[in-house]
Amino acid sequence: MNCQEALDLLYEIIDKEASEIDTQEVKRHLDHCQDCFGRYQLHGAIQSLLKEKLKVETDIPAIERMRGNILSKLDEIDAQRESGGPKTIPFRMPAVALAAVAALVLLVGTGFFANGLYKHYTEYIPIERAHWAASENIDIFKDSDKTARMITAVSTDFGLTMNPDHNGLKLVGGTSREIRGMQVSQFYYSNGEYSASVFVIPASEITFSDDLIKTKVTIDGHCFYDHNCRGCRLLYTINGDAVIITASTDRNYELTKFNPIIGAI
Amino acid sequence: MADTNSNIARKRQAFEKEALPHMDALYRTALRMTKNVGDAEDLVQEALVKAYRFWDKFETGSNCRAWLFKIMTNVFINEYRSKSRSPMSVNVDDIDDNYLYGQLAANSDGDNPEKELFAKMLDDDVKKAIDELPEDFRIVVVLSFIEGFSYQEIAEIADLQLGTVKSRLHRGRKLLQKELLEYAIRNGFIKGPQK
Repeated sequence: MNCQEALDLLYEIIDKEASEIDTQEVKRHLDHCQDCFGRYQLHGAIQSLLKEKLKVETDIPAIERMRGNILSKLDEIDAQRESGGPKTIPFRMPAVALAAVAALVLLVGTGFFANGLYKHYTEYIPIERAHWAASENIDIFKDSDKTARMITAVSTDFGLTMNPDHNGLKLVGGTSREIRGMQVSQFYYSNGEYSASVFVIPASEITFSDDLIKTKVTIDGHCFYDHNCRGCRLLYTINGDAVIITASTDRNYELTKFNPIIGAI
Repeated sequence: MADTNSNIARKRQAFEKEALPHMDALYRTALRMTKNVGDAEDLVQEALVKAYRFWDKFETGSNCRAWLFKIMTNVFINEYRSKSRSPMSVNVDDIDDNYLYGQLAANSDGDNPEKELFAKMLDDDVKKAIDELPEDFRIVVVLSFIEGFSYQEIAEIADLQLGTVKSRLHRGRKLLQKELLEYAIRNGFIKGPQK
């Protein structure tokens, strides 16, 4: 083994990833090569010193705080499982309803009207379909930047290239429509080139397979949405509804069908 | 179908026993991933709650720690990845592998120049150097250096090819060495390169 060969294996040896044979060969080389030995020694020392420096003292208050939050979330999940799955919680309080609508109006407001693409204002999302938005847990439309980030991530997973600025994805409309016999709410994001939709579908009507990376959402064995759709991901279920992001190459797909969400008023 | 209550209780118990003890480790990696305490806490919580939802998919006896890190890395990449993340086009090819070696050997008098160098460096300085790595490199560097995962485990956790793990780790190391050395020179721990 020459010096170049020995140095090529340096990191694999330090990380204990080299084969037994290679490790022996390198050892033999280091026995008679002072220069390589020095380099191995230095890099090995750097590695252990780095590890030493990166040790983190356990932040006990933080751990306790997280544990408490996690346990109460687990309690919620258990309670849901005990009752046989998510239940639809009716939209009860007018005050909450107004708050939900107000939140939606706020979000859609400027972006939507500045867009000028919308012509039809006849179909509105029924108020009861907006109930999920009132939940504290749904922040998807409260933080449009986070939403755009999630959409970008999902789209990237399915091969649509988006730059880190999300290529100007904006919430441009929403509608209530029927897909495979299901009444769903669809919120439509577009940048004029790619589009993505956030769907809200009754969770009881869909099945999904999940390998932790990608989710396939089906209704009666068929992919629930297929307009040039590259793939979709279930974000979470809430109050009996599943919130799903789809990524598509549709360009402004039937934009006029998307109505202002404020129609809910 | 509703789970029976005893079934739910059993799952919950197993999860608390096997998964929750990894919270410390998840948190220290989350800190380096997100570079911020609030996001790190959110990330760990989100990952563990997600893990609980998918606990049925975890095969008893397999590597729970790696499985949890896979979920957390996935959540991080999908939801927390910073908007302004550094482009992958960072050119590290012009940094020689033995850059630090050469610089230390040329600019130090002691027998153990690296020890002297690191003795002066604060833990926070080293963490800062890690934080400055481009995100794609940082993830593999942290999983390897801090958590001690093998290349194969990192490939599975971050959903990368084995070759990609090796090259990102290698490039990450080069950048890290460069950052640490520049830091040391800036602060006068060692002399600058001699012309």
